[in-house]
Amino acid sequence: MMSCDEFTSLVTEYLDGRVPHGKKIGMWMHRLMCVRCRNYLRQMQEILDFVGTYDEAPEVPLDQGTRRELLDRFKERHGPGCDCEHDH
Amino acid sequence: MPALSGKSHSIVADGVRLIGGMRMNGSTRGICSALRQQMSHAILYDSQEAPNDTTEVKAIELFLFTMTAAPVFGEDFVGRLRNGDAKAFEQMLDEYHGPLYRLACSLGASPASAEEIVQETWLAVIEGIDRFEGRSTLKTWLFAILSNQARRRAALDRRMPPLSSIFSDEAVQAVLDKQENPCPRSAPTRTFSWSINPEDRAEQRALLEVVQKAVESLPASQRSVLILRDFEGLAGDEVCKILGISDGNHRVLLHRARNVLRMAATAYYDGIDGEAGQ
Repeated sequence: MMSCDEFTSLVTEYLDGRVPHGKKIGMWMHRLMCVRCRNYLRQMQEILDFVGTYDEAPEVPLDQGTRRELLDRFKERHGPGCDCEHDH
Repeated sequence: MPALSGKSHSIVADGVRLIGGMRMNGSTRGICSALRQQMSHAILYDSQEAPNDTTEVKAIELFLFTMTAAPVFGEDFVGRLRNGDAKAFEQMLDEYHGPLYRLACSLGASPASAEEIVQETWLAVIEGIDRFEGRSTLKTWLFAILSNQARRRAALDRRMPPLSSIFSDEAVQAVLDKQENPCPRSAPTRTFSWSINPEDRAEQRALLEVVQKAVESLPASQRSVLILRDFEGLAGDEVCKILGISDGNHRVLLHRARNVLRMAATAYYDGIDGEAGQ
């Protein structure tokens, strides 16, 4: 029977769908028997779903001067009249 | 009702991979989260029991809906950039400036250095967009450029740690040695009884703060892997390429980082239980 240690160490691979079939059966058996590992897996999933839904990268304002400079550089490099090879 | 077939697994997994390459607005993120949950259910249940009757259909419907609803930074978008569409460039700045800055900080750059690294990334994007071959998503490409810029910066700035020192086998092992990797058997049962209430907005706001603090407390190696995988939604192999790490190190760093988040949530719910019991 798989140990709790082994079960938890495989959880990340399990959620990625990368656990080999034989080990997956071992995890399945372990889950049936162990309420703590069953909850461990459920909580891991809940927390991942939670950050996937609510996390936002910080709002980092790009100062107007830098933004303008980047835009000018972009237009110079890719806008009409630039010396790049593609058509506009 | 049979369990999910291999084909629908691959459809859902492909959908999630594609969605991971996009930056989404709030509502679309919700849809994608639902899709991800469906995929998780599929993986969870496929070897154990049949999911409920609608799981497979819902997963595919959600995948198709998301594909039509999400703003796609795909081939057309890259074409617009190459053709000098300034609005597309501004859209890209607005979408990715924050995520790029966050990754730069997670790689050990100070706020001022992170800003410079991101600006250098944008300059490299302007110069390199014609060479973008579309073998990865635009988002992955941007993160890869940022990682290279951070590497370059660290070589010049002694205050910033070299990426090789963050992700070397020895450094990864040192990080793991310092952390607790709790085994469920040794913890009290109540530690494993909490569950996030999807209806309780106040709880979710508080939990988000807890999670964000836990992320900030992580060592650079774990934080950057976690941000790219679980916050930005990139696939494992993409993260390995961007950060220049082995698959084994990526998996163990991610596993421990996720564990830290789970333990932070456990401490939060233990606190609530303690208050309720007083």
